[in-house]
Amino acid sequence: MHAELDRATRVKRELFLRALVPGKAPPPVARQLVKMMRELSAPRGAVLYQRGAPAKDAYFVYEGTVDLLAEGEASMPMEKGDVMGMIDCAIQRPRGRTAVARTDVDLLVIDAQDWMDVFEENLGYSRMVMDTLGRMQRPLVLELTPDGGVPARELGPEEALHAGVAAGTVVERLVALRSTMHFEVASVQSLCELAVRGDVLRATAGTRLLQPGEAGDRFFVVIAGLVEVERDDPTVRITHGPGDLVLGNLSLAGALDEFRMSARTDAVLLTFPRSLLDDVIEDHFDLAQSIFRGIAIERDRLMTVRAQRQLASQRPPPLSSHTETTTP
Amino acid sequence: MRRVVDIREGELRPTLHLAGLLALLIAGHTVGETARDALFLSRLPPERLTLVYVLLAALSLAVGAATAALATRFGRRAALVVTLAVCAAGAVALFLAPLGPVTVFVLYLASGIAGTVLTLQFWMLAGPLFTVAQGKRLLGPVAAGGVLGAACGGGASALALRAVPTSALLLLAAGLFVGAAALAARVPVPPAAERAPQATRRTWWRGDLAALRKDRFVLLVAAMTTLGTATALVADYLFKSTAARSFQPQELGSFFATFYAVQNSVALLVQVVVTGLLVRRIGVTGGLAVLPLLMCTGGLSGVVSGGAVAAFAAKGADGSMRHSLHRVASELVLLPMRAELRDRVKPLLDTLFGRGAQALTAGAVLALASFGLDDPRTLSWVMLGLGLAWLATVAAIRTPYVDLFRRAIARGELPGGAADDLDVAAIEAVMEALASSDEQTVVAAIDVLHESGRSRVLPAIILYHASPRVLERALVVLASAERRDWVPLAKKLVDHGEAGVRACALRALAAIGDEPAVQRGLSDGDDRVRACAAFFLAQRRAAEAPQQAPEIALILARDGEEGARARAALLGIIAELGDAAWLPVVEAVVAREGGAAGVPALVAAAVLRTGDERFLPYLIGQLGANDGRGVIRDAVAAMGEPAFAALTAALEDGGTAPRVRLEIPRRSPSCAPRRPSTGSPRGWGGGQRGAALQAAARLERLRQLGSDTSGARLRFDRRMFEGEARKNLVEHFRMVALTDALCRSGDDARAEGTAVGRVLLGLLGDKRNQSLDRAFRALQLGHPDEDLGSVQAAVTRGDKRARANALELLEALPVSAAETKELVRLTAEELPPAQSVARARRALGSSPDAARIETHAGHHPAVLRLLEDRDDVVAALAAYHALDSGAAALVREAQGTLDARPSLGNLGARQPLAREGRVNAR
Repeated sequence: MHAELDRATRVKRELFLRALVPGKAPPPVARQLVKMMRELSAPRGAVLYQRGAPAKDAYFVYEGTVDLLAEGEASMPMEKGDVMGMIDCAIQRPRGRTAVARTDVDLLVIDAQDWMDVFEENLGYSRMVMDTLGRMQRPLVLELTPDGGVPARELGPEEALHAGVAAGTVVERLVALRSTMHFEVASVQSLCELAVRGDVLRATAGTRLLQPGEAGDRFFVVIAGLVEVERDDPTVRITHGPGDLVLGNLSLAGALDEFRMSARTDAVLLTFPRSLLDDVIEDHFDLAQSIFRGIAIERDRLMTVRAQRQLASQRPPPLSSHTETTTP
Repeated sequence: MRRVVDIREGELRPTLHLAGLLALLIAGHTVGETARDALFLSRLPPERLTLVYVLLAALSLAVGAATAALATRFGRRAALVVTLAVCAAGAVALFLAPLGPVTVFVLYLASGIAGTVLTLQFWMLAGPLFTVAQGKRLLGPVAAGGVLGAACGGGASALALRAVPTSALLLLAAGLFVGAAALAARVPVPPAAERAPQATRRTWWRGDLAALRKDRFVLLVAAMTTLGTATALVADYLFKSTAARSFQPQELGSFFATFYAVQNSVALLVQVVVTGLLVRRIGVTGGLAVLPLLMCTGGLSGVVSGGAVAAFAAKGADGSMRHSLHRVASELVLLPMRAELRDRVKPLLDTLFGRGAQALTAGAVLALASFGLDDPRTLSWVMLGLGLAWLATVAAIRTPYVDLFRRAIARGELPGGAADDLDVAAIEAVMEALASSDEQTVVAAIDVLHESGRSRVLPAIILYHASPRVLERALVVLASAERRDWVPLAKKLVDHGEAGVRACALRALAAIGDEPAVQRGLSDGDDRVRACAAFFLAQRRAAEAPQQAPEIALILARDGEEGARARAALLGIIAELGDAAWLPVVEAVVAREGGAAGVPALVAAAVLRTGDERFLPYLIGQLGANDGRGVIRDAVAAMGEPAFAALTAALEDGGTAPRVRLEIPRRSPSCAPRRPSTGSPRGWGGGQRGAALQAAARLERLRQLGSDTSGARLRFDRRMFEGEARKNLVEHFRMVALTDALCRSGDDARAEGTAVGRVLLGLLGDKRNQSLDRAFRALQLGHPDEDLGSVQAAVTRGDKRARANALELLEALPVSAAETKELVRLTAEELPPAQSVARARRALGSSPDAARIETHAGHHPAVLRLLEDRDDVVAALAAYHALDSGAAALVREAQGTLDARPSLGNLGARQPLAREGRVNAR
């Protein structure tokens, strides 16, 4: 009897992973994941994990709704098919939010490291998930107009000086790649490949670097100076500086094609095609792990910005002095 | 001293605590034992010992179960405290009772049971507090506490007996038990190690015995325990009966006290000086063999001489080793077992098997005594026989012991996927999914049914589904099942609005020979549908030469975009359903538009299905393509040895496009010939990247060569791979030394201080990890039967216990050169980098490799060393870090290096830019 139930459970999980989870797992991957998962059921109101607790597992919401809560932020509801807790695991930090079951919930739990191993064994799936995560971020960025949730970027005195003299040498490219959030924990050898095989691009202030549709499958990393990417309807304008992957997660889904890019100051950039990134990942999976980490950090930051802005918009406006005096 | 006792940070306190506790516990027991033996043999004949042994065995069964239940209910620590308190109270009660034959009989039984239960409980408490690696280092010192207690107990008894009667020793024993109880109550125990698992609650061992029968390792441990106990009992009987014959009753007390004091002092010496070193040197199983070997020697000398000296020597050897070296080895041999199984097995070993063997042996000795055959020579023969059997068991245990580590570190694999074995409940779940409103879920459910061979269960009414994706998938699956109920519904779909659905419907109908449907498809407005119809018609009419079928000829001849789309659609269907007869069609498409976007991938898919070497040059030429490179690679790899030869030729051909050359090493390993290759193709080198890929490809190829096509494994010269591993391990420790020096505080500058320095540290870290990775790969090639990949994973990212397990397996790995083995072992040891480097250098002794692992006084010397590195990137990073650090000495040296090595300047100096201005990425 137990064996029957187990098989049925396995089938349900596989169907769930193949159909509902973002970056829908191909059959062999779904089977691999199913074997690694365990079930967790919790009643309404149960705390699934506390902010500050060590993060080791990722949770797939199978049934019900879970609220992710943090002070100063609106609640983030996670529903069937959503994955929670992976961001903390990818960043290797304690839980950033408390997870509370809003309804009775059924979850599938997987050890984050096991999941990462599956990515390593299935590079095609890794790329698919990267694309999906990039695409998932698009509405979030477009919602956070006009800055896309990215803080304003200005150059410090040393950076401004560097913008004028930077030449895009291999050492400079390496330093820029190493300080890019998406690549900062990748092996230096993988970054060497990108640095050596990528192209360097220099632009004087005001030069238009890209028109919509021109980026194709290329990535851009700022070595020195400032560049601006913008689009209309809705209007989003983001400024990137040294050590930035232009458009961050969105670039992984090819969204740079929707944007214009121009140099705000004299700037030097490293650019390389998607195929080069894929090649390097084949030999250095640590690069993919680093990108996943970068995706997680950026997504977490944007979710926080959105939650904070939502909360701010829900607050009543400050009382005027007139109101104060007339209040009984 | 550190080589003898290796106690690391945070380990001293718990080790001392446990050693002190064991010392008090054993001292109390030794004092009680001295009183017991002297009082018993002065009031009863030695033959009665056999009766006591039998009773002890029976009582131990019940007491053992009660002990386990106590540990489960109240925790291991509480159980020990309570037992010690009971022992203390019992000793006082026996002291107060009149000393008749019954009292001494009871005293013997009580002392025997206390000895069994207390040591069992102590080791149940201490065992889980350490990992295997810690156990190897720390259980020795802990056990030394026990031996020290025994020596002190014996000495104290000898001294006390000069002033007080033998029975007063019981009060001394009680006092020691009370002290031990107080210490036991304060042992720091983590919650996970405190409570014995549920399985030990049972009062009968039927289930445990069943588990034991299934496990060869446990079975051998049980046999070892049984034979060890039997041998020890014969030695004990021989010793005591000889003592009773050799001494007056009033002399027995001081004889036993003196004997035990000397014996335990020797044991202490063995424990402190010998045990740790010996276990590390000869391993756990080697340590287990020492005592049986000594017992065999004692038995042999008894057989030869038949005198009392042999009996005393055998008992002395047993007493000296059993609670020191043998106890440590016996505990260690159980550590790799799962905790749950260990807790089930251990009470069985100590009670059922230990005491069972005792009962049986005592019965046998009683029988010998009743026939007058309990003379020293006969008993020596028995002891020799048992000792030899014991020794044989120890020899047999090594292989399953190492297997246990393999299992402990190997990844757990669950059997099968969802699709492998559906049953009623699972099919219900799939049916539920088929009714989902989400098309992805429905498609996934169809796939699961198909992959499980249950396509027959897919209801034909699924063809009424609104989603084209679902319809396409369902048509493919239904057409593959031996049924026809879907045909009427499929015929309706030939007019579906979506071309994909029409094509699938046509394919499904064509597969069952529905000619009208296929004819109709030829006039469809969509290329895919027409190509599909043409394929099936050609298949039917000109199966031998489909390129001559008029429909196909028309598609091949058509110009313009429409023609290209039709040919792409035709290639798609050939890739799914074609055979070798279709290769001329594929060839014709390649000749016409082989370089067009998307075509190489379609050709590759078609070739992958049909397989033909004539396409190799074309496919290799397309390896640099961005689109569909994966399928092109697979098609090349599927051709095996010819592909390897063609790839090699392409590498050697100077005209091969650089992008393609870059791709070739990636493909080569997967299609390498399954026989040793001589030499290597030219063009594999060429710079650092080429060399790295070459090395990886070769290693991978060799790994594959490890199994020939018949499945039989080829064997390589293990020493060659071990040599490769050693070279990489030396490099690993060289990198450890450099990174440690670069990060060391105390210098004016540290590598983390500059952006370039951080990159440099990252690069050295990569090199450190990669050399370790290469070392493990090489070892794996030399030891194909071991799962060294898992060991490496445990070493690099495992927790403390996983590393300890890895360490154990590495120690058991039969590496030819001792220094290589030590280097491998050090990778799993948890040591600060400087210590690790120092030990690696020590392991290499006077070998030139030791000099390669340089130690650096700090940041500056390390940077200066890196400026000379052969790797340009490393040297350039070191130079620019030195310039950025601002340290005058470093700046001067860096400038000198840059002047002397212009290649470094090219990596960092200002140069003209490759491109300027606007991007036109496309």
